[in-house]
Amino acid sequence: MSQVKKLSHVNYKKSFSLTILGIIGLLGIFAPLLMPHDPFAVDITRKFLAPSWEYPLGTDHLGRCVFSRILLGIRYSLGSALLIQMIAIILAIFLGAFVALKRGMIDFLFIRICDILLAFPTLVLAFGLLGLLGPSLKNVLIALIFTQLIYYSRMIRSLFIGMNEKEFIQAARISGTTGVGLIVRHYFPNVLPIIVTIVALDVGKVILEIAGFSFIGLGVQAPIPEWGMMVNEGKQYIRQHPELMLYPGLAIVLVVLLFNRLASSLKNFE
Amino acid sequence: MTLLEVKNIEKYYSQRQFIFRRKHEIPIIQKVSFSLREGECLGIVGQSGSGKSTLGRIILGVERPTNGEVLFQGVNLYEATSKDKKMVRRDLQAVFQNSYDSFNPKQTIFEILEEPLLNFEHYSKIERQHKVMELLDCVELANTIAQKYPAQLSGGQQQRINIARALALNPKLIVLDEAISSLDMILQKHILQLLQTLQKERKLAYIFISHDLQATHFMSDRILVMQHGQLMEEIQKGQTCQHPVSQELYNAILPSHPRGRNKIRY
Ligand SMILES: Nc1ncnc2c1ncn2[C@@H]1O[C@H](COP(=O)(O)OP(=O)(O)OP(=O)(O)O)[C@@H](O)[C@H]1O
Ligand SMILES: [Mg+2]
Repeated sequence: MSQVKKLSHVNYKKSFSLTILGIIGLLGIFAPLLMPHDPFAVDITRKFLAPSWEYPLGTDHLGRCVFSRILLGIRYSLGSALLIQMIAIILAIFLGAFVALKRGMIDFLFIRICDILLAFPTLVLAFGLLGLLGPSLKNVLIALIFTQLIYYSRMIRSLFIGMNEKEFIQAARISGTTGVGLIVRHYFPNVLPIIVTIVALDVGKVILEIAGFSFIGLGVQAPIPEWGMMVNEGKQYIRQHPELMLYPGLAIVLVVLLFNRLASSLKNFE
Repeated sequence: MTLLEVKNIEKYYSQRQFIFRRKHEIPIIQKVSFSLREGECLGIVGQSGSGKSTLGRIILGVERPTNGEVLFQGVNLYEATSKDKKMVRRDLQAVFQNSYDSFNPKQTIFEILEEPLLNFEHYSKIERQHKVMELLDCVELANTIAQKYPAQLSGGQQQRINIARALALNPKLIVLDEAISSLDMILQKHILQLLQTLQKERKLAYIFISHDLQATHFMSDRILVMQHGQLMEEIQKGQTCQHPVSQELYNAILPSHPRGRNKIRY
C-alpha cells in the first residue's frame, strides 16, 4: 500500500513539474506572439516605469519592457540549456559506446584524457575555454557542450562497461549479437533511465552556469535578454530598483527548482 | 568426429587477501582436458563450487581461460577471426544456470527468442513469428507468453525460454548448465525426452552440467566428475564409479527405498 502511495506521489510530483515546465517551454516558443513590446526597443523617456497594464513588469534602465524580455529570455536560458544537454548527451552516447566497445588502448587514452580534464572543476574548464574563444552565446554553448560531453561520455562508458559482466550480455553474445546490436538492444535500454535522470538533473546546473557567465560578462552579450544578463544589467540599479534583478532571478530559481524536482521524481521512480 | 576439444584448461581468479598482503591467485579450474564427439552427451557432475559453471563458460567462449585452449570444430575460440567466431556462435549455444540473469529485463519473451533469428537467419517478420511460436510449443509454453517480460514468468518458465532460445538456431552443441533444475518432475521428463529426440534427429551434442545425478545418467553417454576444479574420474555408460570422490557423490543419492542404499549402480 505504502509503495502505491509513494508511487502516486512521485507521479504527481513528476507530472506537476513536467506540466509547468511544458507551459514555460510553450511560452518560450510562442514568445514573439505573446510579447506586448519589442524587447529590444530602447526608449529613454520611459525608463524605470512601474508595472502597469501596458508594461506588466515595468521597464528597465533603457525603457525596455521587462516582461517581454523575460519571455524571450526563456529561449536563451532554458532553450540553450536544453540544447546543450541534448547535443552533449547524444555525442556522449556515441563516444562512450565507441570507447566501451573498443576497450584496449583507445579506452586507456580516453580515461587518461578525461581524468586530466575532469581534474579541473567544470566551471573552471568552461572559463578557460570561454577565455580562449571569446564571449558570445555561441561560445558559451560550445564551452558547456564540451564540459558536459567529457563528463557524460565518461559516465556512459562506465555504465556500459559495468554491464559487460552481466550474464544477459554474455547470453546475447552467444545468440550472435555483436557491436552496434549489443549497444542498441541491450546496453542502451538498460541505462536509459539513469541517463534521462542525470540529464534532467543537470539542466538546472547548466542554466545557472549560462547565467553565471553572463553575469560576470564572459557569456551572452548585452542586448540579448538572457536572464543572467538581465540580472547583470540590473545590478547597477540594485538600490533604486531591485526588482530589475529580482524578476530574472526568480525566473532562474523557478526553472532550476522545477528541473530538480523533475529529476528527483525520475530518480525515485526507477 | 570430434566436435569439441578442451586442452589443458586452467583458470585463476586473482583475489586480494587482505589490505596489505599480496594478490593471491586462486585456481578455479586446473588442467582440464577432454573431447566430445558429434551427437554425444557428456555429463559433468560435482559438488557446488567445483567449477562446473566456470568450465561451461570457458567452453562457450565468453570467459577467457588463463591457460589452455578450446577448439570447436577445429577453431580456437579465443583466437578466432570474427568470421570464424560468427560461424562458431551459430553452432554453440547455451542454457545458463541463472535463467533470469540471462535475460535482458527490457526485452519481451518474443524479442528474446527473436534475437538469434535476427542475427543469423534472413526471415521475414511473419516467419520469425512462426518460428518463435514453434519454439514455445517445443518447450510446452503457451503462445500468450510471448508478450510478457522475463520478470513476469515463473522460474521454470524462464528456464524453458532459455532452452527454447538455445534451440532456435539448430546448433551442434548446447551447454546445459542446470538446465532443468527448477522444473517439476513431469516437465523434466518431457524436456529430457525432447532433448534426446533432438539429439538423435539432428546429431545434437550436449554438455549436461548438473547436481542431479539421476538426470545426468539418463542423458549422458559419459560422465566427468569434478572436484576443486579438477577432473577426478571419467565414468563410461554402464560402468560403476571407482574414485572415492565419485563414490561419495553417488552414496549421497537418496534411494527410492531405504534398503537400496549404497547399492546404487549406473
Ligand atoms: N568471477 C569470479 N571471481 C572469483 N571467483 C569466482 C568467480 N566466479 C566463480 N568463482 C569461484 O569459482 C568457483 C567455481 O564456481 P562455479 O560457479 O564454476 O561452481 P559450480 O560448480 O558451477 O557450482 P554450482 O554447482 O553451485 O553451480 C567458486 O568457488 C566460486 O566462488
Ligand atoms: Mg554452477
